Amino acid sequence: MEEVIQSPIWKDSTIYGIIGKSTKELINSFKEKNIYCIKKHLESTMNHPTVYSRMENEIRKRNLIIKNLEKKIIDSLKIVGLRTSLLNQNIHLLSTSERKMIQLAICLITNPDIIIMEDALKDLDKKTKKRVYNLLQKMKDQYQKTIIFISDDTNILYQYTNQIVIYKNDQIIKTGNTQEVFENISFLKKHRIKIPDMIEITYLAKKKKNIKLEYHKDIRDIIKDIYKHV
Amino acid sequence: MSNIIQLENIQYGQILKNITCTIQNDFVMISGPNNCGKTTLIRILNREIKDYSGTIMINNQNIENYKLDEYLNIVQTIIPTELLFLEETVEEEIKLQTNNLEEINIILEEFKLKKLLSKKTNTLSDNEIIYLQLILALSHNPKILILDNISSYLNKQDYKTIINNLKEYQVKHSMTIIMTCIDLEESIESDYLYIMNHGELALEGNPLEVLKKDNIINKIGLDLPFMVDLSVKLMDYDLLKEVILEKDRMVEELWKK
Repeated sequence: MEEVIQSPIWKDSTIYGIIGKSTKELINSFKEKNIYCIKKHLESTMNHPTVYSRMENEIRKRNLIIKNLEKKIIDSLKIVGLRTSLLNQNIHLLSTSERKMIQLAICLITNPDIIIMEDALKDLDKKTKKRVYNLLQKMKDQYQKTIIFISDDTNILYQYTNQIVIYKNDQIIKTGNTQEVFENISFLKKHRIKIPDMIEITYLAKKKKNIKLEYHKDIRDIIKDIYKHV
Repeated sequence: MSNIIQLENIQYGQILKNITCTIQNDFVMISGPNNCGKTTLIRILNREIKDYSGTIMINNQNIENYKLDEYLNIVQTIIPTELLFLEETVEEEIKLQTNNLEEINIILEEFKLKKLLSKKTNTLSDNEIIYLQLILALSHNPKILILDNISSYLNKQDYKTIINNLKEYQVKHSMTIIMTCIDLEESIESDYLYIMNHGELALEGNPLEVLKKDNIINKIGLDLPFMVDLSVKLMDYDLLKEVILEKDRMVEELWKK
């Protein structure tokens, strides 16, 4: 029997990573709170085909009173690094990354307490990934937001989160500090969770050759460490 | 026999500047940072965009000379950003979209997907949606299959399964597969890799040879696959002679007695 862990108390100013297959229920459990979920994909709708009308509608739907909405929409687009000429474009012509950044822009305007990102940072190039991460980090540090990354990419979760929540068969089976969870190799193996690449190299060096490398997050650090031990 | 796709001076507004290349490998990957023009190029190959300049020849025939329905029997494209199903069940949807029912049955067998038929189209998972698109595309028996960033819709495991299925299918049907991706990890599986940047081709060649050009790839703004990154950096320190993709082998190589 797995030990069942109560739903964590989602703390402010923290980036959580959630690993698990059907996390929908978990997301639904947030319903009453002020959350915004950046979905994998922003599908276009018939009623609000353009970026501007879609953004306006998404914001109105949330019953928020926002002064100078037009200016806020333009500003938010600039903050996420999109051209304002995009506002009149049809959503179905947007690229994958533009669809994600539009959602991030809506999120900035609606100012939720909890920001969830599905398939966090996936499909983004280095520069865009950095921009999204820096923005979310700022939301977390300066405005005490809770950020939740849902992902099956343990490399991303290892790199970018503070806390990990592992969800299996509709239950939370583990919560903990990101570093500690990912250093717990036997647990990861038992639950068929992919060991982050950086961790795995250190683990294999110890296991196969008894070389004691440390666990690193930056590839340059692991190179230096290997250099010292060869 | 491989298909030959020749692109000459393809230009489209500010998006594509001057794409010239000859695609003749079986499994081709096109990568590049966000908004570098990958999907636009795919839309041109899919003949959705017509007002481009330049010429595209497939097996020595200009693609504009084909009738559209003829063309769709040669080139099938999946761009999954906007998918819409009209019928209630998968079976009905298939019947609506294609007459090649025999072919569909064979493919369903091959992919072990018979179960999919009775499912409701509005309850399909992302993975099943991609499979349904794939089955519909393959039922045309295309010579060339183009997939735009499908990994975006799939978790890593499902993506791997689909690629393996496709590779098996490809061998039997001698089909060319062209895919796009952002994550260069996916390019390692391909026979030939193109990297686009700002609407131009920046790099091309055998994937591992291309990926060794870490400085250029960094400048373009893409992440190298972890093991390639680690290998190239260790090679800089003279600790390794070649790129090693398996971690076990890397550890053996670094600390061999």
